[in-house]
Amino acid sequence: MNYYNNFFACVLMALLAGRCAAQVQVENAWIQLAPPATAVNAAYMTIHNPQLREQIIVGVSADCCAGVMLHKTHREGDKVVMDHLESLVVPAQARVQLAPGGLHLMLTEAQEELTLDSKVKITFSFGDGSTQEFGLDVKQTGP
Amino acid sequence: MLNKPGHKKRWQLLYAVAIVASLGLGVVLGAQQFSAASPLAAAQLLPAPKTLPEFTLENHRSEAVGVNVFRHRWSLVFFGFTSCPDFCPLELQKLAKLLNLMGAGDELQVVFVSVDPERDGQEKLANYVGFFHPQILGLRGSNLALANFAQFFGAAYDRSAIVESKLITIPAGINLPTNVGEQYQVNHSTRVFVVNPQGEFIGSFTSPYELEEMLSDMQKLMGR
Repeated sequence: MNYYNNFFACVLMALLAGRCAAQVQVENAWIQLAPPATAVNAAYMTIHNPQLREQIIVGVSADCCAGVMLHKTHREGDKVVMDHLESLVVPAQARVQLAPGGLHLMLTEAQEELTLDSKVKITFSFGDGSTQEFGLDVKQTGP
Repeated sequence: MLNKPGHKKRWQLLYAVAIVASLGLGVVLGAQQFSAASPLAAAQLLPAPKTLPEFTLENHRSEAVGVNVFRHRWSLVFFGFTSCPDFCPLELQKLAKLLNLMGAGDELQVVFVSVDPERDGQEKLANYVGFFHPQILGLRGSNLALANFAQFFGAAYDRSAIVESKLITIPAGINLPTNVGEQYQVNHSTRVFVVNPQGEFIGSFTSPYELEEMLSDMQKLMGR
C-alpha cells in the first residue's frame, strides 16, 4: 500500500514539476510611485527563465488595476515612442529586463490610487496555458 | 648719447610696458586655452542664441505667462505629458535631482510643458509638477500655442491612437478628435532645452545624458 502511495505521490510531484517548468523567476519587481491623481503607473522587474525552453508571456493582469499592458519605450530620432506588445518571449536560460526607459508594464484604471503602502499582485499567463502570480511593492525609486 | 639718464628711464618704461603687456596676453591666451580644454560635457550649444518669441501659455497655477517667465533665471525646458508612465517621470526625477544638487534657488527653474492639453488640466498639472520639485513650473495651453512654442525649440511631438482598428496620428497643433477617447499615446521630444536669463534659447541636452555632466555643464554656463 505504502508502495502505491509513494508511487502516486511521485507521479503527482512529477506533474506539478511539469507545470512549474512552464514558469519563470521574477526578480527585483517594483512599481514606480506616480504623482497624485496620475492614472498610470509603470512596473519594472527582471524575468529569469531557468528552463531549457523559451517561455512566452501572452497575458498580464493585476489585482489593483483594470488595465495592464506590456509596453516598450523606444526612440524615433528625437522622439520617444511607446510600443504595445502582445506577448513577451523569455528565451531559455536567459533574463529579460523590464527597466525604466525600455520594457515595462503599464498599469491603468487603478481601483484606488497606488501609494507606498500598496501591495499589488500581478499574474502572468503563459503560452502553454499556465499562470504565475507574484507580489510587488510600490517604491519611489528602484533597487 | 645712449647713456643719458633720460633715455635710460624711457627704455626702462618701455621694458616695463612690454612685460606687463606680455603678461596680460599670456593670461588672455591661457584663459582661452583653459576654456577650450574644458568644453561642455553634454550640452550642445547653438551657433548663436535664439531669442524666444512672444507666446501665451498658462502655468500650473492657472496664470497666463509669456516670455517674461524665462527672464532673470536659467531654465531647463522639457516637453511631455502627465499620463506618461515611463520616460517623463524618469526625466523629471533626474531634473529634480539636478535642482537639489545645484541648490540654485530662483536662479534656475525646470519648465515642464505638457503637450497633452485635453488630459492635462491645471489641477492635474499642478499635482504632477509639485510631486517632483517645487521649482518645476508646469505650462499648458491650446494645441496651436503649444505647437508654435515647441516648434521654436525644434521639439517634435504628436499623438497616436487606434480608432476603428486603424492607427491614426494626430500632429502637433491639432485638437484631439472626439472619437479618440482617453486611450492614446503621446510621442514626444526627449531633449532638455536650455534658456538663459536673457530669454534666449542657447542649446540642449540630448537624452540619455549623465546627471553629473548636466550638473557640471550648468555650473559652467551659470558661471558658478
